[in-house]
Amino acid sequence: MARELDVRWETLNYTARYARPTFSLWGQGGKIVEGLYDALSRYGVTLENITGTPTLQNASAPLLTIAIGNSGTLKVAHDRLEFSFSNFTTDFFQSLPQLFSGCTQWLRGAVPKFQFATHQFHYFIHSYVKEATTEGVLKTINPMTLKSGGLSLGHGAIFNHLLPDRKWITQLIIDRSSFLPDALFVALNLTVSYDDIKYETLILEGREYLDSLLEGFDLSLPQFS
Amino acid sequence: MSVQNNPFGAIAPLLRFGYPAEPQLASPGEQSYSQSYSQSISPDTATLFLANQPLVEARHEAAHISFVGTAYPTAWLVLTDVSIPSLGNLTNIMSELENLDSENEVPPTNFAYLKSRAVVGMAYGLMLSKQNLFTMLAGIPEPVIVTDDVGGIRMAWRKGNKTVRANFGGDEHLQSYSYFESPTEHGVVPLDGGSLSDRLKWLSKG
Repeated sequence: MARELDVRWETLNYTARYARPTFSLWGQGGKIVEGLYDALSRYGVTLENITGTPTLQNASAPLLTIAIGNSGTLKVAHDRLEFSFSNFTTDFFQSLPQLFSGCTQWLRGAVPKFQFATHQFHYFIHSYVKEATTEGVLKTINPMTLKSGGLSLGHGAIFNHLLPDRKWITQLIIDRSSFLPDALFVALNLTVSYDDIKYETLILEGREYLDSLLEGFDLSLPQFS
Repeated sequence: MSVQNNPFGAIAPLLRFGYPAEPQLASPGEQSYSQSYSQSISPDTATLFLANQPLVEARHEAAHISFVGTAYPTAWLVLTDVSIPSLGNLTNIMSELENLDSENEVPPTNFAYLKSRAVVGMAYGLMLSKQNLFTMLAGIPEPVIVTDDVGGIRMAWRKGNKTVRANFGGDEHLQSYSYFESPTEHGVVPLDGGSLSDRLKWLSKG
């Protein structure tokens, strides 16, 4: 039976980069706020949660930062959307596809011929391993030692993959946590390079994919409650 | 390119500000590996995003935390306030373990040193409130740390009339165990991060 991870910190970042900057929205603050307000008000977002950036150092800097509930933010720029959620509940996690859809569909409606170039998902956890040590887990994954390096505290590994049928490029990182003492850091970066993705399917497949990768290390994520 | 005029337009003055300028990007060829974490926010607090900083070393040195730009989206980078898990006196413990060489007649073996670091680190990490890692660990006294005659490490935490001891054997063939004692109970348990964490929680309740 796989050793279950005791997750202490969990974050999902999602960055959607546009194929072309949204020049038609330049100077259209009211329109941008209205669109995002409509998309996010069901998640409790009010005008108070929307913060503008006073001075932009460059044209790519986020114009707006929107606090979404207690667990996340959305930053809006003329070339991308950046979502970041941490330590969310299962219910909130399951609502994310709808949240992403709402925000991206609004852009498609507001900007003629709008397309996304890439979607980057970056999911990471800092966790302990039930009935095992981080060093023990890492030793089975990367037993290599460098004698001249000093005493080994356990070494991580990075695995890069391409899934042509899904058009995914993935990167799995497993390492000692530099955030929690003697914890394990696991991150999955997933990049999709086409415009229109189905968030429900992608998030489910992404989770299953991570499960299958972790199985290779005899590790498992906790089941959704 | 610098954009002096906010392209967000006329609504900008109506919005609340408070976010600093974007961090400068590093060279485009640089590939950073970041163990980022982010702190959830409320409307009245700034978001925190920290990139690849060792926890213990960075804990009291917020000013030293640096930006890692490169290919990372803005949302993964430091914005304003810095909060990181508060692990009570763990930094002092780690520092004392490192100094055992000079303070004891018999220096610790590498085995005992690494095992004590790992077990104590994990025990303190497990004591942090789940999903609320920024709540200060409180009520855990600083342990007395010495070596034994074969390079093992002995640690003892005392609070009121309770004691928890962790004995790390000098090598893998020597037993490592944890001992606890109060006026009403005592016992010996295997020494690992989980069991030591449970015993230190028991100790902290006084």
